[in-house]
Amino acid sequence: MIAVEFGGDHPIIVIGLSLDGYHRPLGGEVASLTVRAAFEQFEPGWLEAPPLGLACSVLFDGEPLMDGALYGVKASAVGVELRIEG
Amino acid sequence: MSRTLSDPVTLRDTSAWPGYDAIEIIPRVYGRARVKPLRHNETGTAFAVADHAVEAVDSVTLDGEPVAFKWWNGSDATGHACAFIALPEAPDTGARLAAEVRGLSGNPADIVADLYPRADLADFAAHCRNHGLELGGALAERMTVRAAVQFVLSQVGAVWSAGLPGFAQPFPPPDDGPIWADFGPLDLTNWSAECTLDRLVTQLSVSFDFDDAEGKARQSLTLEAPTASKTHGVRESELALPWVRDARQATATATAYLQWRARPLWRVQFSAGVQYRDLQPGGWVSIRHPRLPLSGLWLYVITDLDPGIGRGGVTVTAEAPAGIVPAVAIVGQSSAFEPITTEYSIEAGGDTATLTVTDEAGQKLPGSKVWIDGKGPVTADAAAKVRFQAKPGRHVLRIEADGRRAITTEIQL
Repeated sequence: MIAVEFGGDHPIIVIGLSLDGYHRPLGGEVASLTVRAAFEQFEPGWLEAPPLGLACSVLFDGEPLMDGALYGVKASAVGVELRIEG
Repeated sequence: MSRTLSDPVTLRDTSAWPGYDAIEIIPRVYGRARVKPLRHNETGTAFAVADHAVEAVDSVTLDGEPVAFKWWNGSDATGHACAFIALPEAPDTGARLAAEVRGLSGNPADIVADLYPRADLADFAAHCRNHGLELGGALAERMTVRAAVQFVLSQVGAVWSAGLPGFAQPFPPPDDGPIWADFGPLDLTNWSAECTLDRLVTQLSVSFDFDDAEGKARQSLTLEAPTASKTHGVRESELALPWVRDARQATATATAYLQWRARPLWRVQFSAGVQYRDLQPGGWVSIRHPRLPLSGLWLYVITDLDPGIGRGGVTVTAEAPAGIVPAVAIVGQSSAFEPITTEYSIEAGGDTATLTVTDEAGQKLPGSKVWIDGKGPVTADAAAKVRFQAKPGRHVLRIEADGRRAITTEIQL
């Protein structure tokens, strides 16, 4: 199971459907990944003004995969993608 | 033949004259600007300040000190209209000469019309007049008409498009502006919406009031949207407004910028039917879809529109910031230091001349280094004096004092 845990004033946990583009390059470049989630995982207010820059942790089957911050959100009719950079 | 946006702006340089000091662009001056005069005669007493007639030359300074001058609009050796100043005597080579000029209209719409003549700028000209938007600067850099128009309009936070009715408009459009289209869920196909951290700015450093003679901004401001910094972290950016002359206008432009950019900025792209083919970028539209993060009451601005000729559908790109308009505060204000100048005086008697090096307030600068006709350096003594053999004629002096700009000048003994 993929989960993204956000802290801050209103902590939430987003359960992901899939995880793509997990990069951990050499040379100090930013690590990143994209988590795809169902639209229903989000409260409308959160998705309307997502807390870009907020710290979060990505877990796979309960194991920490990456600590980072919310870099971007992409929504479409089929779902929502969260781009995390660490 | 009409001018296109990809053409270069027509600017002449001093090689158009029979003689020149250096090949430099003769500036076009808009509004009030402080420019570097360009030597125009053999004796070094006449200078061109603009490549066109001007309203007035208000003052001339030499190394920061006001000097007597006269100005006139006339024609240069090629018969081209120029504005000139004349000084009673030629300043030393290396002296910093600057002129405060009132040039062509500083209304941004008039500047655009001068660069890219067109007849549909009346509304934008009225907007600028009504909001007291005036620019001042010297155009002395080769660029395309497109780049020049973009530069001028960015100074007042305006946007433009060749297809936009009225060509240019403020950004974002006025809150009470018309809504050009209402897209419902059945109008949208292949839609996606995206917002990213790199477009978010919560703190903005604004440099403005550029001195074209000195080549630097004379004032700067720092503005911040504190609530956005708290939510998203401090995201810094810079905004250069070199042609904005006063803090009020710089603050207004920077505030509008920050109020738009200090929030997650959703960019939506979708396809729609051909009935929307006549839409143009720059207007408000309503976009509604149950899964669109910003939907319903939120209005978007169209930033691009591909009419999809031959494809049977248009592609629309629009953006809107989320959340309420953030409060913006000025958190810093600064102005440039006055230039540091090095002065000197010479006493010549008999075979020896004595040079004394001082700062602008007359304080002696011992330890300064002096070159005479390229020979040296000779270090000034505790009284800031350098003595040298006084051969009659013209000599070139170079003076370097700690922490000051080196000066090179000619003297006559």
